[in-house]
Amino acid sequence: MRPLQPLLCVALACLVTSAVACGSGPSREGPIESRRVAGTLPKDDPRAAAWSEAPDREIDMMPQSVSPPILSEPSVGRVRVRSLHDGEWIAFRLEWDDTTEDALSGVSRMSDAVAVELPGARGPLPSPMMGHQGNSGRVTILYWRAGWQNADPMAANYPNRPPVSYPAEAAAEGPARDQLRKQYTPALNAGNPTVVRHGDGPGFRAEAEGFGTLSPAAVPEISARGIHEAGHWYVVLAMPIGAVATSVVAPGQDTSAAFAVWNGSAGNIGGRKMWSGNWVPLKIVAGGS
Amino acid sequence: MARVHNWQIGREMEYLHEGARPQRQLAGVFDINKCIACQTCTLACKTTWTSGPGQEYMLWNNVETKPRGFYPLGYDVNILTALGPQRWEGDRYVGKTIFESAPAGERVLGWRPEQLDYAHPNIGEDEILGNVSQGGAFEDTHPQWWMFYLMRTCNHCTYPACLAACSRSSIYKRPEDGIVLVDQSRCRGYQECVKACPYKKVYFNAHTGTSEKCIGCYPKIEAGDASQCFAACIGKLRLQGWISTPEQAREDNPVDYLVHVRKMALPLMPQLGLEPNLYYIPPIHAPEPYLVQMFGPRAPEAVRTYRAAREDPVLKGLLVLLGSTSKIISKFSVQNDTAIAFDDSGTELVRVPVREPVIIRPPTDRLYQIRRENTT
Repeated sequence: MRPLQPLLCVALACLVTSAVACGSGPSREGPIESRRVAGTLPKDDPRAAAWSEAPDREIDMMPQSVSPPILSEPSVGRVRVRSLHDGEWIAFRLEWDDTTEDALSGVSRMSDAVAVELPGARGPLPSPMMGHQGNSGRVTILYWRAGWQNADPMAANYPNRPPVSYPAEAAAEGPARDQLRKQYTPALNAGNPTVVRHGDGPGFRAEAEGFGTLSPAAVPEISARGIHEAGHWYVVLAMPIGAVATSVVAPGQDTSAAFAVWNGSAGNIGGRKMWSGNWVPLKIVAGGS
Repeated sequence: MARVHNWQIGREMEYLHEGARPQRQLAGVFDINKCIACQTCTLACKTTWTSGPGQEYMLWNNVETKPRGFYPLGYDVNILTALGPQRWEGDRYVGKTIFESAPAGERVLGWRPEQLDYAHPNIGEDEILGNVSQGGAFEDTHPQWWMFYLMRTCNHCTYPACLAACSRSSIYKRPEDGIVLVDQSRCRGYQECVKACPYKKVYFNAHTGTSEKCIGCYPKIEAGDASQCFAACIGKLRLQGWISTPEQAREDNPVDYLVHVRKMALPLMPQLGLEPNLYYIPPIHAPEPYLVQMFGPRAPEAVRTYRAAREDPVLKGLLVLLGSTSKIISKFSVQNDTAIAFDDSGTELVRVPVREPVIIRPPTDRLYQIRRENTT
């Protein structure tokens, strides 16, 4: 009997620690458990070893069919979510199957993307569908777009283009150049933070109070990075803890999260997305595992 | 869906938003018969507004050869095919608009061009339609071959499909002049507007990540000046002004006169339901079925009116005002064989003789003692 004792111990350990570590696959029920990381929080590395410490929760996705334009053809069916925190930042690692790496936004060219939605305040949960009007309905959204990891989308979209001298670039620094930029790149001049970032990073932190209300968050801090490997996307999205309105996301808190994912080559963009539909409980564990 | 009145199709129709017409609506008239496709309008716009990165392929104004030219490729054929048969009963359109035929879960019936659809701005240029069996060169000294140039910009529609399709409410119609704009601080580049606009006059900018479109040269409009493409037209075929609804049409308003009073200038594909605000005097030599499809059931009558314009002092007078000023013409009058244009305040802008004086010079110049040669 003695040789069996180590095996028994391992089996018991499996029950109390991560099921993933034991190779039994992700959990399909219960809360997402965000544990305190032992070392450095991998907030910009979706393939860091630390992610194996986090329980894996698989979430079924469905096409957005509530608000036109809807997604008529389902794309990404499931997303696997893990979460870790270090007491100062919380990070989510999302993984899903996608055989095509759509890492470019262009004319009729949509980018792969993913988003994590969190309640904006304590109390009754807002609508999981982009929140609802009013302070109690506000949600925080952490959004990553593959296309934003490309610092020069023009070169990527048009690799064979000849050298072009644009009027603004050709002009000397000064008011005339500013005017030309205003004239020929109005979105950048308008300070639109929701579009091409040109090296600002692939993450965008936003708030919303219903469909069509997405706007930059008051606190913009976010960390994001995605890697496409062997037909899978691995994306990490992270933000400082306590920065969401009344610290709805903090160690020891039980809250909720919702998710959305876009498959660019399937034409997914904006409201044409796969989403988790309802809130998924999120348990932010104060201590370690 | 709201119910709105679209006078161009002679009935009420479904639209996403309540009908709220602007205080006044900017409009334009083009005399297709005068266009030579020199593209001066295209370049006037291009150099003014779309010379930046990501705007290379954008032609807010373009001139294409019909029926074989398109920009982007097949824009009209595709939406007309998707819409299916379009039937008129007199002036009333009894088919469905692109709003009424939107698929479930969509706001508008539309299609999104691929990048390569924008790769051929000159496709079909100067190509004619017709064949020998219709009366070729071997059979007839006047073969039934035809083509015409179609100049296009944003129509600043009364019921814009781009505006209806935008789930971000990033597109708006200015109440003061009806110009339709994309709010560049709100747009997230979903390209729903690109898909929805049947005229394909909204373009996605890969550099900024937003959609952009003709802004109607609104800084010029605010100053009483005509838009760049109107002011630059060397063929003198464009007229920019303000259009009223039919029941409020004024005979001294040049756009009202051409559109409502004489019904000689017609909208492009009115059956789509957008109530576009650019109007075309149709070409006199294209087949009627084609003209009806492109400009509605009044096209044959408009051609007849145009052919008879030389006998009509007012109409003839108004036509010489086209391209005669770089200002917006709000009022006009024709007196004593002279056409006069006025601005909003009633100030005279320009005075043009309806018939240019003809001076016949003798073949010999007596002062220099030389014979005059016709060098042209």
